[in-house]
Amino acid sequence: MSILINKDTKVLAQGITGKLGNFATERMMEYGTKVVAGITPGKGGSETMGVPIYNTVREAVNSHQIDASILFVPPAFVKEAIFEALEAELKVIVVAVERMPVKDMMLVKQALEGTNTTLIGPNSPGIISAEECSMGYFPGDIYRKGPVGIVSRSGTFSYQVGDEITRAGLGETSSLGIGGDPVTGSNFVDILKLYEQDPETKVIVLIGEIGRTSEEEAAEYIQSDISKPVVAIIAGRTAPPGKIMGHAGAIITGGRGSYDSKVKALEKAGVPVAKTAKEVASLAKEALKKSRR
Amino acid sequence: MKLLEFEAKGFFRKAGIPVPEGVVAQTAEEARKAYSDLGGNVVLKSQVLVGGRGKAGGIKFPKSEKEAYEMAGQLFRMQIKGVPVEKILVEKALDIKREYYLGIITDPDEGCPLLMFSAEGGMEIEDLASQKPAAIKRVLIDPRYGLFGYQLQFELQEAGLPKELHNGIINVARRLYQTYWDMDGELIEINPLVVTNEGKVVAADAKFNIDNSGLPRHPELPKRPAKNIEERAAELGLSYVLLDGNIGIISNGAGLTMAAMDFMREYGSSPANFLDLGGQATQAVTIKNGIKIVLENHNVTALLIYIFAGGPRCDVIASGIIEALDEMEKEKSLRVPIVATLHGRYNKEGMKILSASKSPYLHLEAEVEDAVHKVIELGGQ
Repeated sequence: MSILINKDTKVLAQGITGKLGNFATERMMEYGTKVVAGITPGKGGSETMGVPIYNTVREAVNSHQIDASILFVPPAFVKEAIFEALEAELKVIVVAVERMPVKDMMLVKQALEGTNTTLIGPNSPGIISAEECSMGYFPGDIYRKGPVGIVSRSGTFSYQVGDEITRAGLGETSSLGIGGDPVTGSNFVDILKLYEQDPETKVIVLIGEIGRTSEEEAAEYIQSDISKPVVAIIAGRTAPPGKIMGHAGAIITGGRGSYDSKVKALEKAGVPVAKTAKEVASLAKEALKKSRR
Repeated sequence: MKLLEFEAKGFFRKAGIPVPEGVVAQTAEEARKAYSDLGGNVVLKSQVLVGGRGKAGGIKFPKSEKEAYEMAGQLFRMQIKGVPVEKILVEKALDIKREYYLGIITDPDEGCPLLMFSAEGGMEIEDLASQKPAAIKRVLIDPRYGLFGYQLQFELQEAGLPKELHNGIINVARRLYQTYWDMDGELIEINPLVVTNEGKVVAADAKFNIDNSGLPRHPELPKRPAKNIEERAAELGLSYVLLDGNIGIISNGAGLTMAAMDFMREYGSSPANFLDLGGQATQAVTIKNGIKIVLENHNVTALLIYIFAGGPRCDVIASGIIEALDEMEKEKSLRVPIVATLHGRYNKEGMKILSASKSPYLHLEAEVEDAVHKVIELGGQ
């Protein structure tokens, strides 16, 4: 088991013929992901890598069963592409795109209310369910089926942690990046909820970073609603305040979003906070042993 | 992108938000002329993008044309928190009766715009938030519909504001919100929002930051040449932040780069910078630009290259590193030892390519912990 996507998930790629779309889709298919259709307005009727292309999402869903969509369209068109996927009532939308205007994302966020769609991103590495399905840029080889569910704000750092977890002999159910932007479709709490419900996930790893207060909210939620052990790491312990650290959302401003505040909140909720990726793996191992007793 | 006060006030004026009459001066002589053109009673305000300019002496109150000339001269010779003063806003002084705070920010956790109002004007909102949180009135705005007057009306009453001021402030707030929204704002702030003795509501100061991702659709915004190293790095597509240690860091991805910094500190050394190569890590030119930017900082005694490849392949990145190092050795622009550690897709192939390099500067480590130890050993603490 896993969260949101598995070996049976039928995936749509919006912007499949763009440079990034083409590259990522090829990698996803290599991993075994069932990419059943692609969208590129103007190229409908043709195909790429054996995948049929349509001009609109509506045409694609009329011809195929589709569960999830991943977007590779240019930043200026992301809002529109998301609304198109939302209208088709797809269950999962992954927005890998960087530099989507925050204003557009605020409008999307409102439109998501009351729907059954989980939107991941923007500026997200995507989601992978180990040895089943990959939607995004993951280095698939490092993941093995196992009991650890990963949720992260960063991309490459979550690969490092995943790698340590696999090397420690544990393996993962899924790994998901909520995205590094200031406003994201899903926050930690939304994903923690999914891991709590997934029977195969026995321990949850939360990879946070400075900025925003999503880690503090997660800590509160863990204390009240999560029964499974959670282990965390927060990147940016040594980051100076007032500076954007690569991710637009990673900035300590007005006393909000500091490392100490996040660690304090997590520790209060009984979540041990590691200092290195290796330590995350050993804490997860310990937590697993304890929960089996 | 952050706008200077006079630039922000230009947008305010266009939106119909009252601002004091003012002129921008680039020389002391222009400031003197502005003093006389405005008929005296002016303030000289340094145009710099740093907080606390008033306390740092960046605002002056000349009493005569001669003083305006002299004081402007002093300001132009000043650096405020390291930033030289290149422009002064010469502005009509206000006849202040009351001061308020009015601002709108994008609230990341709510995912919508948040308007903040406080009757305690003039104080930094951060200080207010920590010292008197109850003094800040908050209005969450649904971006589909915008700000409704009644939302703010309620809060103004709660804040105990005299009734005759409500309409004027609501009027400014609506226009402020529209400017923030139309321009892809991230933060827009009037502090203080002044009520004059005549009862007029005027924006005495202005702060306006634009969401960088929204910049492509606003050609009307001022173009500024990149000045400091962080801005120059950004033009090359690199996220760079200068820090005070001696070990340079080049990595890919924001979280991983921060993790590398933290790692450095954990092992008893300190990072000289944050440098995230971003998604273009595959190109030799990107890596070369990265190394050059890091080495501009003369405190750097050793450099760590820490890559975890998800999309791009390590062998491609490794070829980029080799190409960059070869070119830089020919230019004789390398001067510190470099420790590289590659992980993720095709990492073994990548490390193999690097190990074929004859560069005396390049050291390799398979494990990131070893790489960090090695770079600290080579660079000293």
